[in-house]
Amino acid sequence: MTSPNRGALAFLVLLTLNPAWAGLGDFESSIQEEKVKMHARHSVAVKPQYSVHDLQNSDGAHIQQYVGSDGRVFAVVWHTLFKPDLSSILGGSYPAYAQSARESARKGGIQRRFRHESLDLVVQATAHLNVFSGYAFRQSMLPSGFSLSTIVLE
Amino acid sequence: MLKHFLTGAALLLALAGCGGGADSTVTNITGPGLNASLASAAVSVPFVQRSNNISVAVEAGPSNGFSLTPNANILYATVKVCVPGDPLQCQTIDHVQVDTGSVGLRVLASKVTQLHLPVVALPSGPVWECYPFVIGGLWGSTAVADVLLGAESAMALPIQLIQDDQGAAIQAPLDCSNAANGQILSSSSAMGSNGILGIGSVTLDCGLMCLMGNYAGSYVQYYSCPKDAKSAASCTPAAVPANMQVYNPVAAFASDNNGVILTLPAVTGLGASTASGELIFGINTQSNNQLSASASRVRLGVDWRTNPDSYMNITTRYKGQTIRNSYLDTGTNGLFFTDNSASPTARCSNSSWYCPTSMQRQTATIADGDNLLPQNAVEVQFNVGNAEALFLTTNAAFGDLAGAPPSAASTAAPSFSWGLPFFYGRRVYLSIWQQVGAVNGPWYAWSSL
Repeated sequence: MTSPNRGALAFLVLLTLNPAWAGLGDFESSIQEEKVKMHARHSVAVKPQYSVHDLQNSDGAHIQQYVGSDGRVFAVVWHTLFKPDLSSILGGSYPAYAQSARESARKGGIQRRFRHESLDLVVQATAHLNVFSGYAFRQSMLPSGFSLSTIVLE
Repeated sequence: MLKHFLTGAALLLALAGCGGGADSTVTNITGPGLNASLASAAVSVPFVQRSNNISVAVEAGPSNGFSLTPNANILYATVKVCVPGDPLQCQTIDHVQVDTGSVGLRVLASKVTQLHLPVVALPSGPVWECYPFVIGGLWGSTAVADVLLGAESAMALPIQLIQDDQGAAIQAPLDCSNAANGQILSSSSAMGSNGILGIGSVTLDCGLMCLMGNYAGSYVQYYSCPKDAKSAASCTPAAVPANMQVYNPVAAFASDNNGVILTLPAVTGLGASTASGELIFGINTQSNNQLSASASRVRLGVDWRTNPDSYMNITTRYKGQTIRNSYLDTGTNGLFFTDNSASPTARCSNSSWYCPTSMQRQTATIADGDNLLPQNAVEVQFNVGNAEALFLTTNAAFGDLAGAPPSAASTAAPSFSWGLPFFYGRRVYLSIWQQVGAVNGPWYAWSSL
């Protein structure tokens, strides 16, 4: 884990250099930026191999970010009553998702589920009524022995 | 297979929807009234017009051009839209998709241009909406209309007019284009319909975020754009009171407003050319909408803060997996689930549909969203057919259509969507939260025909 000082430094650097890309694959310190955007309450649950940052909105919407021992976000989960802006949640993984989603959306009509799966990035999203939920993870960054059932059931 | 007659034009359209596999049949087309051997019989349930019902149908749809997507299992209704308070100024819109997975009436603006409907207006200007799907979305102004569904009417109802005039001044702003993944649906061919009749389990299409006008972490859903704005650049994010948000038309009826009952005929084998049924308004409000004592009933989860996985969902158990993201939905055109079992259902080679070599009878269990009560678990049997074989027909209704996005990585089961095939051969009750009979939460119920 990074020390508080290093964390603060990384936060400043991210804000200065790359404010739009904070999320999946990025450093834990970038979570601060999410918190500001969502006006969210932030809590952290520390597990042996990783920690779970939970950002909660006033309407109960959750975005959870899973942070590995290297200090980087390896998975995100959302349960929101709005369509979340995945450009900030997916960070550097967003362009691959965006291209894939755009191609699938071309199909037209009502769509309630979407899955993107490439070598390293998996994004699954569903929306029904005004409830949006989904998850994304980077396969290569998962802690060894990490159970994917954890991120969809928590 | 039973023979069925289609007009030449309808047949051409339907064949185009099936992709390359149907090419060899095109030589059979000689003109209207032709014997289409690849279409099955039409099926229907008896319909008698009453004070609280309309007929609905699964059929080819309004598309007036070739589409690459098979128009399968889309349920349509006809909706009458009138100037508020003036029953003489109305337009009738055909092929509006019946959707229990969304809320609100949304019609192509070009279908009501003659009416000059009053706009929904805030002090800062008329209200516009960016309505996102999980991918894709809609952009358009909102207006107030009297909406007539058969003999029922929702008076002064806020609806969305989907912008389908590419030359209009106010096109979707960049934030809305982003919300829609770059694909704003703005034509009947893109939508597969002339509009969407959203009659899902809740009353509002947005809720708190839009009430507050706080779109942090999301995309802006409601805007106000000054009257006579020259472009969307002058539109600003808006806080919209509940009575001005796009609203569930059924919940807005004076009576019969606590839910709907959908009855569709059974559709088996290779499908039916069309399937016609009945949409009844209200539950336990009239003699024709009584909840049968023998019907199976499950509650949707309502505990958003502690059990978000189950919120507005039922629970489905399938091949040993418990799936909390599950719901009934007429707006989903197949049964969508991921078969992660040791010997999974075969997939089609070129799509995400299932393609078993012969039809498979499968079983799942449906239960309440919150507080799983073992005694309230209901076994449901369903068929999975070979989607490629189904799409070789010119049918519009398929009872055995199932699929799932391909998934190479092993993940836990994400969702189980009981789309339109679930509704065939059943009488399905869908209540609306906060209305009479569903004050503490919405529920579904069903019985076999």
